[in-house]
Amino acid sequence: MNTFLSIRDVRVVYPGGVIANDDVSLDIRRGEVLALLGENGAGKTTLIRVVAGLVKPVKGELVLDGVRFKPSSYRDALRNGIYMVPQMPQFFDGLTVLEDIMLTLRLAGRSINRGRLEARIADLEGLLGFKVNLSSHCWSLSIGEKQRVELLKALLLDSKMLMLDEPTTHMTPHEFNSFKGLLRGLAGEGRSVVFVTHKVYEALSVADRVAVMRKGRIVGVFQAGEVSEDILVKYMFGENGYHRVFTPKNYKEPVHVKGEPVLEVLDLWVKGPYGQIAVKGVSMIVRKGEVVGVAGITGNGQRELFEAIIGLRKPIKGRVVLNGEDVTGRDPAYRIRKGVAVIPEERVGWGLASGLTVVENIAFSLIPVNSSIGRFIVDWRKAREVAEEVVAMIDVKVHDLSATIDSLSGGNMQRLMIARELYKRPILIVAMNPTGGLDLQTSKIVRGMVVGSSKASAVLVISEDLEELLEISDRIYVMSDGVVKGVFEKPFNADYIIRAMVG
Amino acid sequence: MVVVDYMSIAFITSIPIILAALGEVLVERSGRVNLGVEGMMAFSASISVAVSTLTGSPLIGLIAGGMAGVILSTVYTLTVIGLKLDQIVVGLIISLAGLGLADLISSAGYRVGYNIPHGSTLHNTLIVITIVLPPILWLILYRTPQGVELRAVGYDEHVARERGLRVDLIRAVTVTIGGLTAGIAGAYMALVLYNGRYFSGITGGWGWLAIGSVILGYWHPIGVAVAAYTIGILLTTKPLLTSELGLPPTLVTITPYIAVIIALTLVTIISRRKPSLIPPKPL
Amino acid sequence: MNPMLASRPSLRPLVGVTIGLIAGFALALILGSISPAGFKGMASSLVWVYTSPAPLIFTLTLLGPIACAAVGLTLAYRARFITIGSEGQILLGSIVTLWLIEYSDLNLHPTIAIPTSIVLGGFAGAFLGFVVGLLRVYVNANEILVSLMLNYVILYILNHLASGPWRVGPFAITRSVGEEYRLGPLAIVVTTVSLTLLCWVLLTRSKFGLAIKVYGRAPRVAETYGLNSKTIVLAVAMLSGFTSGVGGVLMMLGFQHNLSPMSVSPGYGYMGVLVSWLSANNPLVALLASWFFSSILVLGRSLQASGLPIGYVLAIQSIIVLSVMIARRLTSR
Repeated sequence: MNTFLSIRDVRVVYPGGVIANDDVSLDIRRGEVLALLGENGAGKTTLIRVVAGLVKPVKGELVLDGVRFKPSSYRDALRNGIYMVPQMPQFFDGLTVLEDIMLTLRLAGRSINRGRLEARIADLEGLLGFKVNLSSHCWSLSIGEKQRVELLKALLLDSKMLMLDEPTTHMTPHEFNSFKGLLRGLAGEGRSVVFVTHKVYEALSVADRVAVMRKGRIVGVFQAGEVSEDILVKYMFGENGYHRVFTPKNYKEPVHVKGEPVLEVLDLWVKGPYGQIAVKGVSMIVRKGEVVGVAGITGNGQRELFEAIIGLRKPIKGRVVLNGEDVTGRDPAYRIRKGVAVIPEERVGWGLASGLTVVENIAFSLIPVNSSIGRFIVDWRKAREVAEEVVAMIDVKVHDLSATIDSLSGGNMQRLMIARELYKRPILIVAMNPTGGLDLQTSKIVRGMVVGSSKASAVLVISEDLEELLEISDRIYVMSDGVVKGVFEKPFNADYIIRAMVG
Repeated sequence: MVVVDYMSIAFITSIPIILAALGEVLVERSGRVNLGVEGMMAFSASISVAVSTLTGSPLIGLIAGGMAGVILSTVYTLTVIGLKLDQIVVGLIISLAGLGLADLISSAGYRVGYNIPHGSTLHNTLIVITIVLPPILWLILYRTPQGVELRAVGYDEHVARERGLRVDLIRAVTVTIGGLTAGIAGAYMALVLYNGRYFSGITGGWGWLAIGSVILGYWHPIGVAVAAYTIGILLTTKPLLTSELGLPPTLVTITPYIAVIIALTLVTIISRRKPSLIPPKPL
Repeated sequence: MNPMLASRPSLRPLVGVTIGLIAGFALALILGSISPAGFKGMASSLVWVYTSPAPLIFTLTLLGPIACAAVGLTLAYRARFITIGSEGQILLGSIVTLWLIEYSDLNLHPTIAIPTSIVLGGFAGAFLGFVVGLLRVYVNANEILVSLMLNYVILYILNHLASGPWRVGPFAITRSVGEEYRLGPLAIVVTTVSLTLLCWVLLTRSKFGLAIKVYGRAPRVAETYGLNSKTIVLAVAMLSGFTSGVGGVLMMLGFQHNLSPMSVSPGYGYMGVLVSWLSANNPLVALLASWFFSSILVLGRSLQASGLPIGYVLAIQSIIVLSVMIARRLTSR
């Protein structure tokens, strides 16, 4: 048998009811590179996490080398020769790289002496064509470096199967070419490589076979040599999807009469959590009536930019100007009073307070804004009325306003949070990854809310989902390594934008 | 000579703080904090006196004291690690309950037992253990795979669980060791420092000083031992400072506690300047 | 869920709490019978405490410092400001009261002296709270350790005063506050209930209370949406310090009357901490729980003569709180 791992009828349901894997079956062969292709949220990552023992399916089974395989943890997968490199590899911040490598080896049941390990690593570094500073602390590694270390670990373990989740997001086209060669070489040694991507051309240029996922299902498996890009795209997005994204039907001519600038960011420099400079001289402008997108691969300074704009992080240089007023030195409360609405990327714990009721979660955000819910003592009847109005803005049935916010689904929480912010009639809306973790249906509704709000306000959306930005933005700034690498106006050319993101 | 004398007396005095602090280092390195040190010390002080009275052996008293610490730490393991109750609440409860239970046991008639005399083999053994323990712990934490695992758990519990590290087991082990060292520390206070006597309030906040010295020493075994020793110097120089320098005794008594407060603020400022020194996340 | 922030009781946890209370109380009393007081002593005292008028009244007297500390702590703990400083704040409140009435040479009339001491004691406690809050807010110093250290500092200052400057006669003891300044159980209960209601209104009805809850549950949410975290922490630090300080005034004027050196702190503040946890940080429940803990203290005091160490009272209470927490967790599964 040529099959290394067989996935049979795997079904994964996340809390909240989202079906991430809908009876997926797939064979992974020895000595092949298999591309798992699909758009964001298609269920690719979930599937490889099932194989890595990190997600428990509600149904289905895995068969490894003809034997039933039920990984109860990542450790189990490691010991069976399966290595997964996540899109955002997680390391222990305080350990050194060498310690982290030794830890992984130990988990896999390998004990190796330090000197021999260092020699082996030096060999592999030559093979892979990069160097890693073994004594540096993990927190100081960039995401790209972390991925390289992960690759190194997989080879040190002599893994039989390697699963890579969107490994190319941090690579230049040149790096991608040599990486391709490396993966082919691994497959040539008889290993299986699963390459998760949402980029069609990558899938075709690396893989022997391409499995396309959409909405939690495998919708087709193709020999790479026998299928065209167009067909793959059709399978990825369904019959109409592709066109919706890249050349929107509802395309409108650029608005020539531009509104007043509401937000101006001028030569902003911001430090990140570890003292590194994360935002390096970013300038941008957002006018009333437009949706401005900030694209970029996660971790290129977007979060720091977001925090500086809403006042959570003090810039070391530069200015944030709101409606002509310099608010750089002002706290979030002041900016909120001036009409800034904030939609942070994490709903629970950043946008909403878990454990508090729906009414409380709406009322607190009004504290700095107005006194309609009371000066010192809260008028809870009034607060309730406001909550009812907010809930009425979205098409969601909230049965009990006194129930804790945790009783709502993720999608409803997100819509409620956005409605709460829009209720304040803001002049500027700053949103970060507003549809992260939502199913496609809810994402569409949320995007509608964001776009709709641009009639009365200026909207800035920072998102890692490029397709989303292409759909809703009037203008896109691309950030890479803390710098604006390009500003794009409609109609967008996705290729140029992607190149700016990785370059 | 006077200085040397004071330094060695200070060391003998600071042994319980050093031992308790070293146990707590392991606990906090594995990402938990056990605020029950004060109570574990008091409880084991009382138990050690009672057992040494009953058996006539200070050695058995000392061992029983260590076991008493382990018993209280098991309460922590079961409730915090097992039932996931709040670690702060449980730790403080252990402290308060330990102090009360200690008084209770001594009320049954065990106030004076057999002591461990200064200079005895047992005492010398304890001194040697206290001297060699910091470097040994440093070796374990930084040079063995088990130590790396322990620290990894302390840095990021979530990642550790995802990778399949036995987080709860590791923590149960460190908490138990912490109980043992706190227990021996308490027994040492009663059997050595107070000549085999127990009285209410015997620990006088030294358990808290131990926890303070963990932060002071920046979670590094050797640093923590030095910090605990420094606090011991402050505690022992009280008669010197009052008689020689004429400082009011109250002022001198409160110095170690004030010192811990100042140190807590300094440590934060230092770690702000040097982000590369990442402490574990116990609190 | 974090037991310190739990709210909204329903029937199931109520059953758990009851089981936990009874089990913990029973266990603690049985353990207590190894003292010379014995099981018989424990049992008869238990009956006496809840049936005779004298202990019932004494319970209301001792309730003052415990409840004052506890209701203020409910605010602090809701904001996740885990101060343990009530013990020192109570002692400082009582020191300040004794100074005002006996050592300040002001010779105030009781109608002025009593309210003044309540304000002054409260402010003294608030000042200690402010120090802890300030260190937490500006240098991120851990408030648990800082407040505990301050407890010892205040205890030693008290010992210093009682054995030195304020000492009268051959024994290390201070003057006693005059009869006319002393407070009866009614005055104590009125003060305590007022503070409880104040805290309850703040927590459930005020914007500040809402801000506390949001900050306690999710600090980042509070900061993002313009609720000033520094103000919240400093405010709860000072408020809980204030109520504890008032507790110290009630302790001095209600039953302590003078000061003498002690090797162990009397523990009213620690009892307040335990009560606050037991009540799941609800001020009204905390008042009730304070009464219960005060009655345990009366029980312990009544057995002191027959050999039960007074320090064991805190152990009884700790065991009860832990037992309730365990029962709550087991029944909520």
